[in-house]
Amino acid sequence: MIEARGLTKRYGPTIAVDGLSFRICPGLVTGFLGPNGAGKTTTIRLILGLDYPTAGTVTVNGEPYPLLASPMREVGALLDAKAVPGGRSARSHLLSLAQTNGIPRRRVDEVLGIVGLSDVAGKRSKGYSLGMSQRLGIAATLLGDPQILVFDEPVNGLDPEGILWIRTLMRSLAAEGRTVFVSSHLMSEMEHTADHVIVIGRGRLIADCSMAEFIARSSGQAIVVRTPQPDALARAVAVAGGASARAADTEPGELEVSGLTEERIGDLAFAHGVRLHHLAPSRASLEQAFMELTADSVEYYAGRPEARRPAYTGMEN
Amino acid sequence: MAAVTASAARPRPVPADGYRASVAGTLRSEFTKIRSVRSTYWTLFLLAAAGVAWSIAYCAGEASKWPHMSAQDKLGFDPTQSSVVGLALLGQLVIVVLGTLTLTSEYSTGIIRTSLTVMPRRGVLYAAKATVFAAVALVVAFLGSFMSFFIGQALLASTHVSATLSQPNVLRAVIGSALYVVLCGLFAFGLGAILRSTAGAMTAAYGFLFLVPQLAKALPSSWYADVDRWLPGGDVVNAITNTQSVNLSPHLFSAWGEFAVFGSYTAILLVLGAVLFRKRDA
Repeated sequence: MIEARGLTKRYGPTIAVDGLSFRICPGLVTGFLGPNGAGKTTTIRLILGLDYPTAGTVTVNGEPYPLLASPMREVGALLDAKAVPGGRSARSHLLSLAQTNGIPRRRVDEVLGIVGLSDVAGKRSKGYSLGMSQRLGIAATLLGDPQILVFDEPVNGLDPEGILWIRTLMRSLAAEGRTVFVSSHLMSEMEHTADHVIVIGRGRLIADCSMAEFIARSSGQAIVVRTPQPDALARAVAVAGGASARAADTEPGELEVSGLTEERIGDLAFAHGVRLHHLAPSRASLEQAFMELTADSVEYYAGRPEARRPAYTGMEN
Repeated sequence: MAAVTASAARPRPVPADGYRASVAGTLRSEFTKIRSVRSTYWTLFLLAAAGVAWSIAYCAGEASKWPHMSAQDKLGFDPTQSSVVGLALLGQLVIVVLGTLTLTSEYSTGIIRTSLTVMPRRGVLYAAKATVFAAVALVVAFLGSFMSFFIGQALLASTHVSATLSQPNVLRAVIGSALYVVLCGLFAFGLGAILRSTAGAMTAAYGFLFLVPQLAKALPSSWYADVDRWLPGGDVVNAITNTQSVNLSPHLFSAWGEFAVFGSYTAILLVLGAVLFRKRDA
């Protein structure tokens, strides 16, 4: 369990982490989300004792990280996937890490096997691709067989195969009862991996809830309907007590209906002789919900035109 | 904002396998690090080779000139210094590179954060790095200085003034030149910890070891006489390797005195580096 209380980090006048309090519970994949610059990496560095907090505390299994007797046994952390030890081979690098905590040499070969780097273990890490560096970083986190794993943006820059591999690995680690804390700036990335989400923006806590709750909260009630007779349907919906809106810049004949269920809309259309070409709930995509949630906390605006659009216009639907 | 309750909390894992972050383990780890990169072998080979090459070139040259030398020159000839001074003068150039890289290479690759995550006791990591580097450098510097000495004396045999280790000050000069090289490495290591940049630390090290003593020569001579003994670099080497004191500036401290001055600078940098290493965000 990782527990932060009032965690604050200031760099000169900028405040990177602002009074964060959260608990990361065992046996779950917890997604740590926020736009770039939200303070995710700083928070992780504070957890690991790499940076010192300006105020507040953070503990790992009840102790500040630097006081853990066997840090590798308790926490495995991947900070910067691009960091490789240059002229050193994967095997020597992992051995040097293992030795600090008295982990036997055979464990090095085990983790090289787990991440699929056995064949290149003797090669200098300078020439590794991003995917290979990533695997090397993950191998290092597994050395001590820790109960807690912390990954900072582990899929950044990876190809689809690499992303799938990391996703599967995180799920299987959680299935073994481990705590997985993984940061990302992409909500869609977490949708299939995380059980729980902690969302931050500008260093402040925005949401701390289960994934199911997050989805439920952020899903609009709107149903998307496409029909060659939108006006007839709109009237029928209004009579039945629902509301409909023509989506601004989507296909002609597309309506977003709220206040009625799919079944009710289908029945209404049938009763009024309106032909339907499409009828489906418009779950606001998680990405969009996430963007709305963090919209006020994005550090650098780039004049995004879509920010002006009305909600639920089907950016990804 | 409902937080998931910790009902599923498992009992804290007991490290029954005895994995513990330890001083001994960190020393082993640092030794693995230093011996698993090629640059270590290159720089250490260059260190010893530079000393030996100097000794061969200089002593062979002196031996061939010997029959034509004036009595005055013969009197001032220091066979020990001739053979080991190269190790100190050239070796310091080389060891600065290795001493700097020991710490700064971890900053440039980003591996320092991994190192500090597996060994979060920063003082232990810092001390282990410095110790392993110094030990490895010491072994090679000693090899280099003794090889330089014996090869040089063999080449000077024809002059009948070649030195032996039992003569006064000779052992001190041979050991001192090796120790000086190690100190230069630690000097650079400390600068590396302070500046956290390879280029910055190397520039600063060369600046202190070479530029400062040269610039000081621009001072009025009466000032220079007072300042000289406190400077790092060339005259320290001269004081340590000289066995006859006739060629030595009278303003310098004794050999070990000069050594202590330079050792103090190194100690200050190492301590300052340690304090910053512990205090700063990594």
